[in-house]
Amino acid sequence: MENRRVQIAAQGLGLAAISYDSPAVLKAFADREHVGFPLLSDTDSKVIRSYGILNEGVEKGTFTYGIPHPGTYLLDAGGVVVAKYLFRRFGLAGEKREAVDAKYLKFSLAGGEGTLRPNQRVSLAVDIRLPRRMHVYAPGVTGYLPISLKLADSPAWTSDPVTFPAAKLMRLEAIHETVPVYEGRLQLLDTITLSGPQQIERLLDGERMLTVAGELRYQACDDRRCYVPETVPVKWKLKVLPFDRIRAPENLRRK
Amino acid sequence: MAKLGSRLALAVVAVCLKAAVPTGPNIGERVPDFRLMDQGGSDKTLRQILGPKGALLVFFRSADW
Amino acid sequence: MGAKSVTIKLVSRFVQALLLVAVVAAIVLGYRAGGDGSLRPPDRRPALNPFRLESLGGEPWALADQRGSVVLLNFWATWCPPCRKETPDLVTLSHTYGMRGLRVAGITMDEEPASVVPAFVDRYRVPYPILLPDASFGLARSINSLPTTMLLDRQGRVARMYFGARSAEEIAPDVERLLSEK
Repeated sequence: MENRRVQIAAQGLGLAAISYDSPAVLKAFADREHVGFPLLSDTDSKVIRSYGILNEGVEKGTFTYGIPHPGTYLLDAGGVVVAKYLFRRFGLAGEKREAVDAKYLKFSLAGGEGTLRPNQRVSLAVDIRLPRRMHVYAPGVTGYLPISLKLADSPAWTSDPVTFPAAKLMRLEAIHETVPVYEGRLQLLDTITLSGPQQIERLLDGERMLTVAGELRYQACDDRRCYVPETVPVKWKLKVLPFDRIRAPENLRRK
Repeated sequence: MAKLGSRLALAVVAVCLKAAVPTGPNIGERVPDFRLMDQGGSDKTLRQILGPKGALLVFFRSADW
Repeated sequence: MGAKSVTIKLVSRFVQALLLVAVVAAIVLGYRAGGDGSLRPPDRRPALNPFRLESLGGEPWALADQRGSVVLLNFWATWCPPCRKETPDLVTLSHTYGMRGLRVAGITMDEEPASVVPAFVDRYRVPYPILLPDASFGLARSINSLPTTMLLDRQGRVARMYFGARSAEEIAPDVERLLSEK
């Protein structure tokens, strides 16, 4: 890397890279990867926008909004473009309701929409998207940390056991093992039963929202390395209305 | 400057990639100026980045994910 | 034609520049070349903070005591298949270069090493110590993927880092170079 930077400089070319990361994030990256040229912080994506390369395919409000369509411009000494080198691979699938910030994997949470009533059952989903060649372990493995979703204990709900999709068997030839794993996309579903009105009422906030919090734990590997186990907090906000006690008008009621 | 641009434009036509996504400033256009903070905390402008023969300006997604 | 030869010269220079563009862009766009690409020159090797850990066998192991030897520190865990795949290669390096001054140490990131590591050590016939991080071991906190291997020169400075499983063939030339240094 240092060699190439020197080669570029020897050609009389300046070198800089721009992203929407903060200077602190860029510094950590620069230190880790020994980057000797400027990494420029465009945190509100103003410059990215001024270059017309904001990725509009990303849903606003998610942590990934603000990224550019990646590319490299070769400029002459006056700042005029002489060549462009563009990548087409980087796109993001549409994010569902809420994207969670987590290393390596992309999550989104869904479920619990609309208004709910006490004693009702509702399914909460965690949709996970793994990068290519990366896997996580499925429940039932020994010696590895399986992916798990655990909701906090609360008087406001009781949870069914989490449902997991069918796992794929992966052969790890070098160590003569076959393990159940997940790759690509998967969905974990946690169906909960809301408790009665007395238990729930106390836990609602001013807007009648109930926060259902939990933790997603996983340990991901690709074919060359394993990442340390991660625990990601997840939460859903459910709107819970009281039982419907309004009766039909007097003249329509059964007598 | 213009001479350099037109000379290289000949060579460039064959290698320019087509993409269905927005591709930013076109060949022959001057890119917008900027002033951004680098990883060391100092501001850098386009002018400061440009060397005697020009510069490579790389836009990337994230250093974090 | 004069103009044509100028164009060709510019084209090849430009193609060269484009290759640099691709390489730089690929690196900066997050493609990990697997750590440092090559052995750092002596003036660019950072020193590690001295540390002292206990080995699985109960013996103390201090970085400061390794001065004068080339040190290979391998962060790994039993739950890491690439780490296990790599272990025989580290065992080979340890046997091949131990007499010439290479000290290998494994640092386990298992949460309960005492219950899982001994069986592993037996199975893979690991001849070098496995160290157990304690709460004050800051270096372990900087590790976010395994295996991560640090190669230190005879003066305790980090000459190269490898991310991901490596073979003995890949690491040996660097070990030889460092052993030949004072």
